[in-house]
This record gives sequence, C-alpha cells and structure tokens, in this order.
Amino acid sequence: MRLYRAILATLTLAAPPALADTSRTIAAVNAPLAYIASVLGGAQVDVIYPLPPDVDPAYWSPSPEEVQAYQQADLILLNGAGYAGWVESALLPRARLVDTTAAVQALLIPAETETVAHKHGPEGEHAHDGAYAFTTWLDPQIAEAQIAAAAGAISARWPDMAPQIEQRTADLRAEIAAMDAALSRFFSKVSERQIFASHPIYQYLDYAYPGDITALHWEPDTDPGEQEWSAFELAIDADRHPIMLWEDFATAGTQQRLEGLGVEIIVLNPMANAETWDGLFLRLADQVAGK
Amino acid sequence: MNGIAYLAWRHTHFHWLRSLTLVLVMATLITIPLLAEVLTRAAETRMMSRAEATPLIYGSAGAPLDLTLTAAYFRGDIETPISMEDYDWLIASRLADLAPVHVAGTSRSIPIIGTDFEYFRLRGLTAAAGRLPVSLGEVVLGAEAAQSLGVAAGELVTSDVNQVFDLAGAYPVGMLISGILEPTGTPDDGAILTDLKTGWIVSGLGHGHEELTRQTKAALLLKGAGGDAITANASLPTLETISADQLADFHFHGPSETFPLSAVLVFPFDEKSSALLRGRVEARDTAVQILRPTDQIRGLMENVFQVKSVLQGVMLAVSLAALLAMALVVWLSVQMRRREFDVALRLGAGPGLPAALVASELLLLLTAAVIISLAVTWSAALMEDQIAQLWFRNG
Amino acid sequence: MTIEIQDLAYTHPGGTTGLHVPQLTVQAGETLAVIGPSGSGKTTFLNVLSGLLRPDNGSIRVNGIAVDALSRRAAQVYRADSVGYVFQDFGLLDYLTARDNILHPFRIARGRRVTPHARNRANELAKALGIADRLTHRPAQLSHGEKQRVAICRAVVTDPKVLLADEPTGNLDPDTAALIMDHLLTARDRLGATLVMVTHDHSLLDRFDRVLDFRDLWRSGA
Repeated sequence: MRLYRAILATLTLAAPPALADTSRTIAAVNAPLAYIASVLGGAQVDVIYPLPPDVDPAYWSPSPEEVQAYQQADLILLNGAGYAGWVESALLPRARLVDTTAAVQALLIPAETETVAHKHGPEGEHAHDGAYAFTTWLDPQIAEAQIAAAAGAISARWPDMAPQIEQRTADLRAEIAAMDAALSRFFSKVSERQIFASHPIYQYLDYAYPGDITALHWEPDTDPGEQEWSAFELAIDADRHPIMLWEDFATAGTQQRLEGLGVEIIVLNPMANAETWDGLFLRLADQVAGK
Repeated sequence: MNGIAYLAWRHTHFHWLRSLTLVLVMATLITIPLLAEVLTRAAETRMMSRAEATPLIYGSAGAPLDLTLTAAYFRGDIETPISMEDYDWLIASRLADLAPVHVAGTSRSIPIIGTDFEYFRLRGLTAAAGRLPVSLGEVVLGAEAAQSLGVAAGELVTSDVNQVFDLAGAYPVGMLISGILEPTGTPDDGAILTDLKTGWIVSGLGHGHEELTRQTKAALLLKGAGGDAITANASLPTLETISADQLADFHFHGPSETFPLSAVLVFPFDEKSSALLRGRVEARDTAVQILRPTDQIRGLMENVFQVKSVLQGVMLAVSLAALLAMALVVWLSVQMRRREFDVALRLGAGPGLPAALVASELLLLLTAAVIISLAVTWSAALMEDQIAQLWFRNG
Repeated sequence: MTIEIQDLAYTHPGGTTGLHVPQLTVQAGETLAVIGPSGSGKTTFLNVLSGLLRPDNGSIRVNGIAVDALSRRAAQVYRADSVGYVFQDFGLLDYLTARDNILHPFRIARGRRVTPHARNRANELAKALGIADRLTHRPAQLSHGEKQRVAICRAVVTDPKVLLADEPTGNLDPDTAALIMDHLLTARDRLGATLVMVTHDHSLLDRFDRVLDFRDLWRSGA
C-alpha cells in the first residue's frame, strides 16, 4: 500500500516522463505476479501494484489514475487466461505487456461452460464467463511457467540483470517446489475424502493433485439459502468425512451448520490479492500444512 | 539631420501618395520572395524535424512517400494496410520501440488516429488539460484540433461517417475527450489520437451488440411526420457512444491478428538494432517495406524547391517589370524637379545634388519597404504554426 | 565688391552670339540695372557673373577673383559664398515651408549646415521683410509678394557680396514691385553688396546707380 500511495503521489505531481526512465518499474495484475516481480527484480526494480486489499484482482476495475500507474510501468505482468478483464479495455502499451501463461495455453483449464451471473461484493454483477479458470498459479507447473515468462521478459528488457535473474528464478522455483510438496502431501492425505469447494477456484489443484473437488457457489460473507443447504445435504457422504475448502472464513452460522453436518472446514486462500507478498507461495501452502 | 536627408524626407513626405505607392510596390517585391523563402524553409524545417523524429516507418510495399506522409504526418491513408501480425512480429524482434498508426477516420475532417499508449511516450506528448486516455472510447485532441473543433476535455467528439470497413453498417461513433495535448508544432497538434481498438470501432471493424442502446438523434426524429416518425427513420444513421459501462458489449469481427494498421513507427534502440531490423524486414516479405522518412521528405523537399525555383523565375520577370515602372516614375519625378535643381545650382549646390537627392529618397523609401517586408515576414514566421497547420491539413 | 569686365564675350553652343560687353566696372555697393530686349543676353550676363557660364573671351573679375578662370568646383564655392540670387518666378520649393526655403542654401551647399546662427539670421530677415508670421507656410499658401520676400531672404541669408536679380518684379503688380525693390535696396545696404538686377520695368531705373542697356551694346558690337 505504501508503494501504491507513493506512485499516486508521483502521478499527482505530474512527474516528467523522463523520471520513468531513471527507475525500473514492473506492474502486476495480482499478488502472485507482484511477488514474482519483487523477487526477480530485487532492489533494482520498483513494483507497481495499486490494488486495494479488499478486492478480487480478477474482477477489479481500476480508476483512471490507477491505469496511469500501469501505463508508466516498463513491464506489465498479466496472468493471461482472461484474468483481470479491465486489461482488455485499458490503454496499456502492448509491447510492455507480458502474458505469463502464453507459453502454457495447453495447461489452462476451460472455465465452466454455463454462464453464472451473480452479485459479487462491491463490484456489482459480473459473469464467470472467462474462457479459462483464473487461479493458474495453484498449478505448480503453470506457476513455474509464469515465473519463467516474467524472468525472460525482465532479462530481455534489462540484459544487465540476467545473471541475478537466473539465481532469483532458482529461488522462486525452490519455493514453488516447496508449495508443491505441501499441497501434494495434503491432497494425498485427503484423496479418499469427499472434497467440496465453496467456489470454482481450485480447478488447477483438482487437476494437479489426487482427489476430486466439487465446486459450489457459496459466498464467505453470506449464508447460503435453504435450497442450497438441502442440495448440499443430499450431496454429502458422511462416511467419506467430507471437507470443504473456503477462500476465506465463512460466517459463524455457516461454519456451525457445516460442522453439524460433519464437514471439516479448511481455509485455503489462493492469495490472489495478499496484502504482503513475502514468501507468498510458501504461505499459500502453509494454510494446509498441519491438516 | 544631414541637409540632403532632410530635403529627401520633406519631399517624400510632401508627395506622400507617390511615396506610399513606391513603398508598397518595393515592399511587395521584397516581401514575396522573402516570405516564400521563409515559409518554405520553415515548412522544410518542420517537415524534416518530424521526419528526423521518426527514425523508421514499417508499412506495406508501395509508394514510400505516401507511407511516410500517412504514418508521420497523418495526411491521407495508404491503400494496403498491414496487420497486427506485423506489429507483433516487430515487438517480438525486441530491437525497437514501436508505435502503430491506424488512420481510423475523421471527425469533421480532422484525422482520428488509432495508436498505442507508447506513441505518447515516444513523441513526448503530455496533456495540457485533462489527461491522456486510459480506456477504450477515450481520445486526446491535439491543440489545433481542439481549437478548430471548439471542444474541451470532458466533451464528446463524433466520427464522420465515411468508414472504410463497413461491416456493421455506417454509423458515427461518439468518443470521450479525456484531454487536450500540449501544442508541439507537429502534426500531432492537428490530430485526434486514440487507442487501436477505438480506432477499429471508428473504422467500423468493431461495434456494440444489438442490445446496446442506440440513441437515435432527436433532430432526425422530429423531421418525421407525427406518430410514425420512428418507423420512418429507423434506417437513419444512429450515434453510438463508447462509454465505460458499454465497453464489455463491444466486439470485433475476425481474428485480432488480422486487424489492419496503416503503419508502424519504429524507433530502434541503436544503430545496430536499426540495421538488423531493416535486414530482417527485407528478408521477411516483399509485401512490406521499412523506410527512413528523412530520405522521403528530403526527396519531397527537392521537388518543392524545384517548383519554387520556377516560381522565383516568374517572380523575377514580374520584379523586372515593376522595377522598370518604378524607374519611369523616378525619371518623371526628376524631370518635374528640373527647375528645383536649376535653382539649387544657382544657390551654390554641386552638380551631384540631384543624384544625391533622388538616391536619398529612394533609400528612404527602400528602408521603409524593407521594414514593412521584415515586419510582414516576421509576423508570418510567428504565425507559421497556423500556416503550417493549414499546410499539413490541406497541402 | 568691385566687378571689372574687359572685352567679355560669350557665344552659345549653336554659334549665335550670346553676349558681348567691351568694358564695365561696377564699384562695391553700387547698383546696376540691366535692361534690353528679350534674347539680348541679360540672363546670360547673370550666368557669366555667377560663374555658371564661362566666357569665350575677355575677363571678368569680381573683387579680384577671376571668375572666368574658376574651376567648376571653385565656381560652385564662389556661388555659395559670394553670390545671392533672386528669380522672376521666385524659385521656391513647393514642398518646403517658407523657413526651410530661406535656409535652403545651407542644406544644399557642400560643407554648410543649418546652425542656430543661421536660423536666427533667417528669423531676423523674415522679420525685417515682414513675413515672420508666414514662416511655417508653404509657397502655395503665400502671395506673390510674400513669395518674393521669402526668395530675397533666401538670397541674402548667406551674406553674399554680389546680389543677382533676374527680373524679380516681373510677376508683381507695381505697388508690390516697388516694395520688393525697397527690400532689395535695403538688403544691399545692409550687406554692403553690389546689386545687379535685370529688369524690364523702366519705372524702377531711377533707383539704380547705373544702367546697362544691352540694346546699346548690340548696336555698338554690331
């Protein structure tokens, strides 16, 4: 946030374009990419990530000032897969855009075919009709590809950084490997159990690890209606000790009722918009560490 | 004051109408070639500086001058566009900064140019009012363009209906003016700049869905007779405004890599990149070319100067005729002053007095003519911006 | 200033005799009227006296200066310094005011300029001749009499020692002519100059010390 304010302040002071040349900047559309940029860039690069903490980067709409912050960046890391739709209608310099999943299109999972439109917090109505599932970095193979894409773009942009980029890429790979190990351990452990997800945001985990995840459309901040509950009760198989993955803590009522049904709640936030980035992938994995 | 000079002054002053006529004739004879020289030089400087500010232009093979004038000066359009595929190929080369140019259409004859945000950075364009565009449907206007359209930031501009690509039917497109650019003394002053997608919508390549609200112009409806007005006017052009909440509704026909561009401005990172890129383009495809605008403009200027030298010949002949007429006037005036010179001789003047008097008067008139010529030329040079704009727009 | 003439002759370029004066001496301060029919050489005489025409024969000395032998340059200086000229048609410049006309000799002669002293002199003369209030007017706004008075001022403003007048009263009515004659004589007195005046007006002859009749000269020469 401090960085974001600093950038806004610079913009309001109408910084001359030359200033952008003196410092190296990378903008990112979500926290995992911002984290990758900050690790790869190290001290030589400023990361532009102007998102407020309470929004989902996939559906966020930037203000003109926020778009301007992106326009000034030397590189703009995109998640690809139709993520962050605002990018499509914003004026961003095409040559600076880095689609981090362009090289792994084959690994992307098509989103559910039926279009589901619903209310989603302060942003209002939107439809989950993107071509692909969004949370690509949950698949370690894709995450590595995204790191490689970012590393390649940075090295090409600033060849003097290439040697450091190599080492930093290795550091990030190690972190992804650790995340992979933790997630693998967890899903192997629960593979026999019935797994629900409050939202269809874990498709890549479903694909990469053992187990079968059934996704619902439940919001953490609202209680599901009776119709949803009865459908859910019909679906659960108590003998398989069901667990339910949530991106955030559900309401106390929902939690109680789930526990009453013998469903174990596990919060696994994909960290699309983490407030701090340090060790993002490790912290992501830590959420299921002792489970 | 010297006696002769005083007499010359009194005489020219007394015969002011004759003096004024002579001064105007002389001033015209001096001003026309001077003005022509100053303005062509200014135009050349301006044309050349723009060419120099545009290292290379990539576009389809064909008339190189047309490509240069279209891409760097926004004059006319080229017949065969290139496509986004070419632009992406250039990006992938990583040898140059790039700015695509798509001549999308016009708004009251002012060119609407679709480009990339990079264009603003590469050309050093900043907003004097408002801001540079941040999203689809926003445009910035050059200072001259804003003035001639009489619009300000926050208002709308509407494209003229003369689209090249008429896939979705011709209709004018309304766009939000996000800002007005600082004047730069370049063709950017006379253009409307927007992003490529908006440009394609203006060209008729992209458009809104059917459910998009089309506001039929009230004025057109009123022309209808009574209740069947709407039916009667259903086929009339409707205004479609690209606004933030309608962005998602716009779609484009065809795969994006086939979308047209008039040209790509190429700013190589260094000499080596420039040489590499030119080599690669030549090896790539015979349907495209990459050229140096300076070569083209130099050639154009040589033609302009040839025309100018012909005009100078004509001017010389006219000047000679005018000088003869002036000589006649001076000779007649000397004849009429014979008595004056005779008296002067008897009062002790030297034999050179008549010549000295006539010469002083001519010098006086010539000085006035030169001052007028310089003043006219100077003001023309000051207004050269506007003159150049006219030239850029209509020339 | 004495004018001494011996056997003076001038022939026009065409070959006709323009002038012949066998012998003439005019003492300083004297007034000489020159009369004779048209074409008898009166104006030629003035031109020779002013050094504009060089005689073919004989000598002419003005105050010891051999005017017949002056170079053109020296003749110009002689005219500027020693000769004042009054014309029948006044010879005023229409584009100058009366004052500028009076000061004209200072502006056209080499090495001269309009000094404050010259201006004072012009003003004094104008006052003496009664045209002080006409100094800012142009010739077109002046009467004939006034014009000739301006011309007299111009002739004497450089303090010449010889005053040449070519029918100065020819264009004036008798009263004005008498007045102009008065002015010329007054100026002559003040300058102590020699006045040589060509005239047709026989009523003025009795105001001159001497009269030179070119008709007689022709007769004697023929």
